[in-house]
Amino acid sequence: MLLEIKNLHASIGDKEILKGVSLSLPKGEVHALMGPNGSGKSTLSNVIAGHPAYTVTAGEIIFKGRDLLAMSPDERANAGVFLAFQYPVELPGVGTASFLKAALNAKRAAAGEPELDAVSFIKRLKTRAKALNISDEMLKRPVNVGFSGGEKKKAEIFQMAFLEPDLCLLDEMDSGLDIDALRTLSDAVNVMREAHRSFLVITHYQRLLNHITPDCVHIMSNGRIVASGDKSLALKLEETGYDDYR
Amino acid sequence: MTTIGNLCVIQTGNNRRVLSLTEPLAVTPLPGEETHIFTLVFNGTADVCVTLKEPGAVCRLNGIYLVHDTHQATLRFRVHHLTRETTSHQIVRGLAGGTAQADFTGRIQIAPGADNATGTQNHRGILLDETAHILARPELEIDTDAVTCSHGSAIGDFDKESLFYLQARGLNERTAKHLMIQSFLFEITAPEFAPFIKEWMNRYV
Ligand SMILES: Nc1ncnc2c1ncn2[C@@H]1O[C@H](COP(=O)(O)OP(=O)(O)OP(=O)(O)O)[C@@H](O)[C@H]1O
Ligand SMILES: [Mg+2]
Repeated sequence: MLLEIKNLHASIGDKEILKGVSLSLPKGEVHALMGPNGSGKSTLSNVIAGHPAYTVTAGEIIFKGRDLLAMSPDERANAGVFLAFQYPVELPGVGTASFLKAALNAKRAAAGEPELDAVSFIKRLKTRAKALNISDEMLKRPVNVGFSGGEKKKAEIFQMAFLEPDLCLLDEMDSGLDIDALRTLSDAVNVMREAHRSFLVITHYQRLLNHITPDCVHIMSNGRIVASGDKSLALKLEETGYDDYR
Repeated sequence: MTTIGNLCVIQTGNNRRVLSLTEPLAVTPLPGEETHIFTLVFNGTADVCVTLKEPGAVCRLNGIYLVHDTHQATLRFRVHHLTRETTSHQIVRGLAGGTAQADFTGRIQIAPGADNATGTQNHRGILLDETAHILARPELEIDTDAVTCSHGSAIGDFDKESLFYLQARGLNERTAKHLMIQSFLFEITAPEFAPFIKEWMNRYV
């Protein structure tokens, strides 16, 4: 098991949002997380990544056998957790390439590896950029500055491909994407599907799951996982909506 | 840190000078070439007075203050628009930690008859600790109607969402804050300041 969430409760202020979430994500699998607006999907991915706004009041998260909740957000990232943000932050004055270099070297340092030399770094950067149709010009821009909504999503998936995490949390990566971009990003995700890597894909639409076939679909409602099944569950939702699960 | 004094860079066209800012500085920009003044203040008082007395004169006045421990820094900008069609833009960014205090006073004075003058001022400060203080005082004295003037000021902490984003990419809190400061200052800093800002960050952030 790559990720094991047991009876997770989390609050913001004194408002409980996650009310006992349990979820197991085996190595190499793609799980989809669906559910009505406000059910707690983004909260779950934020809590896994270590967002400081949420307080975990009960339960545990075990990642690669380690207690994730005891780790800081950067320790989690360097252990292999990657959250693709729904709204990534802009960083004027900080170049995308130098930012990724810092991120990669932080990860390598945490693994006891030396910094990547300049030539290998550039090579890795260009290969991953090319696969996602990211231009050299975009790599030269400051982090996310002036990117359109779709370009920001693309940039997040690019960062993910570049950093090669083991757990990929994708929060509505399909929202605001045109049809071609959806295909490009889905292809990039599919290329990354490997035996050691798992994905938690948050989405509202079956459309994304046509591109990225999930091994399992979970439905979240009111802070809990209320149903799990294979990919047919998402198809069924298209017809019935969430009425049965509220 | 006492080894680093307050600094100033003045650029007019291709002419660029670096000065240490120990005494009040008075600058009279001429029309034709924009005058760009960069200041960096760690301690004590920095006083810059700009007089725009010929139509077409333009001045950009940038200020950075970085204070920590028990330091006190005062940054005083005064811009006098004495005649018509003169332009000034003040942008100030700063950080305060420890029990330090930073004071920024920015005056825009527009004389009677200085029509079509433009004077703007923008200040943003970040508090590294709750015990630090930042005070920003805009002073506007406008004696004519046909002007464009604006000012704004905001004082707060590091943006939590940005910090989380950087940490979620594997950067530790310190590195993340250094990058955020780089981003915060990049618009108004001078290359000459880079080593001093870096030294300050390494020491206090
Ligand atoms: N930072 C926050 N401050 C206050 N309330 C929050 C915060 N984050 C989440 N919530 C609340 O927690 C609940 C769950 O929000 P969350 O964003 O996790 O839902 P979601 O399932 O991702 O919804 P959507 O499908 O609309 O993205 C909502 O009621 C939301 O208002
Ligand atoms: Mg959400």
